[in-house]
Amino acid sequence: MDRFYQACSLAIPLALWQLAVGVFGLVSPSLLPPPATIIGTTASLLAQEGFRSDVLVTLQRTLAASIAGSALGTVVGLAMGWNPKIKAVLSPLAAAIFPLPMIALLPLVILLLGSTETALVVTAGLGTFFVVLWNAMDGASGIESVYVDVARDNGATSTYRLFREVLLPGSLPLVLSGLRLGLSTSLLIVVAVELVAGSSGLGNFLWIAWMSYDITALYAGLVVSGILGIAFTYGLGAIERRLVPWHADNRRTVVL
Amino acid sequence: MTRLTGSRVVGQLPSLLGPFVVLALAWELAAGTIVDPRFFPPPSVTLPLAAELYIEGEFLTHALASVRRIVLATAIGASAGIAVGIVAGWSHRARLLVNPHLAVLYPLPKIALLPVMFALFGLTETVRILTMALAVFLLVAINTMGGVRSIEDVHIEAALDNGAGTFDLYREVILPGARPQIFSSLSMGFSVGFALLVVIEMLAAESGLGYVIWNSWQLFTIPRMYVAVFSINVLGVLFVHGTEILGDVLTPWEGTYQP
Amino acid sequence: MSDRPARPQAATVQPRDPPMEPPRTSTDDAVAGTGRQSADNERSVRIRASGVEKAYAGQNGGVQALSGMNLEVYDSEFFCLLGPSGCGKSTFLRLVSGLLEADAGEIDIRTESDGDRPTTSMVFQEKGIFPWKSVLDNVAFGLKMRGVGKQRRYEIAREYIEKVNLSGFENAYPHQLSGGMAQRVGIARAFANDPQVLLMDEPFGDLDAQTKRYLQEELLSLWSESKKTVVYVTHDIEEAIQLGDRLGVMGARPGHIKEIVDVDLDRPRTRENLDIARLEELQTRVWDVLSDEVQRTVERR
Repeated sequence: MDRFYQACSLAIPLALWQLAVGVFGLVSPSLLPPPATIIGTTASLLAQEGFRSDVLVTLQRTLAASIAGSALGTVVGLAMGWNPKIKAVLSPLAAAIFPLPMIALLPLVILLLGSTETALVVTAGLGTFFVVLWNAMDGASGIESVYVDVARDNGATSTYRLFREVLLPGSLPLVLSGLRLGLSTSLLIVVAVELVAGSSGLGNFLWIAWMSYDITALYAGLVVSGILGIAFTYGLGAIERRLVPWHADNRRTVVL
Repeated sequence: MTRLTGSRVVGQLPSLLGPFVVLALAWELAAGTIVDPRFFPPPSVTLPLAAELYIEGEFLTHALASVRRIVLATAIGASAGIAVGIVAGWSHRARLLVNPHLAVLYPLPKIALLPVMFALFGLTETVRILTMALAVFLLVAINTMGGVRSIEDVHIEAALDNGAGTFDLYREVILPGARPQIFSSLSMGFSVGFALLVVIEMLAAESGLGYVIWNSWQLFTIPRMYVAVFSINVLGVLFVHGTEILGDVLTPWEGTYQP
Repeated sequence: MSDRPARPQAATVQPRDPPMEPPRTSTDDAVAGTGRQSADNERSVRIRASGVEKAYAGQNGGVQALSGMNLEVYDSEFFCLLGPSGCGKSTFLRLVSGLLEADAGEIDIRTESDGDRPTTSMVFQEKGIFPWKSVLDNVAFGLKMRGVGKQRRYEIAREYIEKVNLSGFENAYPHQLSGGMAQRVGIARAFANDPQVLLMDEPFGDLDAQTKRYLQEELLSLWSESKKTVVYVTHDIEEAIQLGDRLGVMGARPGHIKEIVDVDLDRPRTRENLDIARLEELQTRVWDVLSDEVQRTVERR
């Protein structure tokens, strides 16, 4: 029953929008196209080779950046959370750089690497790195010391075993939510860089649509990037529930 | 997300600053020997330039423009987010109504909204601020809702048993109960807000530090670009970590802040 | 391993096994603590702690947790370490387990060269089982660490899961269990490890009275099957007397053994079987030793 109400909460405004613009013409459809038109445009755009390759390029860049950034961020973050000395040295630096939007570094990265394409992925990777790093660090340092005692008492004395049996599973919930945040950060930066300096990708598509004042295409671009964002967030959410079924948070609905 | 408690900031200032001093020295030494000083201007170049740009140049204006945008956007987004979050956290019906919208809008890369907003409403300051405010709103609303829902029933029962009315319940139990999550979402809101701010200023503004970065790149004035990047970084640290520390101070029962 | 069949599940469980202790020649008018009974002197010592010192580094200088701690625990006995909170009894247990190292003094545990049985295994106070492992994997954890193959370790784990009456919950995660069930997992793991000495750190401290009583009986039954030496830490006088063969009453700050009390009550200590008068006598006696310690601890707060 709750699901029905929730569906209504989304469907009724959409229906009203369709009626108001499409049937009664209360708002100019050139400014606010009715949902059916937007969906139709999105579908026909997705049928075009050019648009599909834009989406694919954005997807590739996002995945490349987030995989590299997450892998590195997880390793460094776990090391910081596990070893107080590493944390003492690195956490002030990381804390200072963290609030800097990585997109501000874009011109510098382009300058250094020469190629805009590499710079794009590196910038998004940096953004992911810091988000994942904090979560992995909090995950590792939040593991209660009694679990280390339990593992040692049961014979897990080597560093590898403590890592495998305690550190990794204990920090996994936060690492995974870091990955989820990292993936959406990566998508955000990729689209932003494409918008600012790209020659391909969804962001670039949006830029062209904006410049040519193609409102329906703008909405379609928004819908597709929204679908990507939703797929990333909830897809990783589903993986999370699979991987850490024991985590208390997975019994409630928690976003973030 | 980040935990940098107030006590650590004040009490361990030397060990906090140490890595930066080392980094600055290394940079100074490396510039001209290992790295190209044109791309990596050392602190001895950028620091005097920063002083000059702020005292005599136009940087103060740009910095204030950026601060104005981020503060207004956060104020609007956060107050709306707290209001919606509390109502939706408290009432099951309101949650059914609001949750689907939050769930759909939250994962949307907010950058993609920019061209639509600009195309519809023009390149105005209001649009710039409202786009940032929307991002803050979503973060704060979802987390406030979570915070309210995590309040234990027994606390509410205890308040009611002690004669609390509706208003008292909000002031004495619900707001404090959700406060830790509200502050951590505010801090996250600031970091997302700054990312949007820089993009907006790069794309569609004639003022602000993001504009300066873009403009410096076009003019190839690299040291000036560094000053702008560092300025944004300092603002980011102040707002993001400042909010965290404020949150720690205002939630002494969490035990994260020891004066 | 005992070849006795597993105890059947029953609504009211009482230890059915005969007491494994050599029957004490306890008479009702014997006064506890007047001296070790001769039977004890002949028994072999399993754990010997002499002159143990342990300090913790604290914010305002160190805290001396244990000083001049001397103790002998006999083979196959159920020894209860009793004391006010903060007296260092958990610290002592961690020293015995090897999780901590003493600053001075010695703790010797006589080990039998019996395959690769671990010397000690601990049942922790709470949160002693990994939230990220299922009940089965938690119980099999120590075996896995000692390199026991998957099939064999699950077989052993299942056996002990059954013994603590958790059959059917093998694949449950700790968050799905009640506090009492979670502690049973910890107990099953410790017994599955088959250690030579079992260490228990207030394992039932957070449980309600009924669950506690029930688990105590389960524990006694498992113990009498396995003839293990047990060192059981508690601050609950009644629990210590219910369970222990002997009690070590500790004094606080720094922790040390104040007095050893023999619990000369016949097992099984069921309601019908129990010598209430003797029990009360023992309780009063232990309370007398403890009360000024508790007083001191409370006043220091």
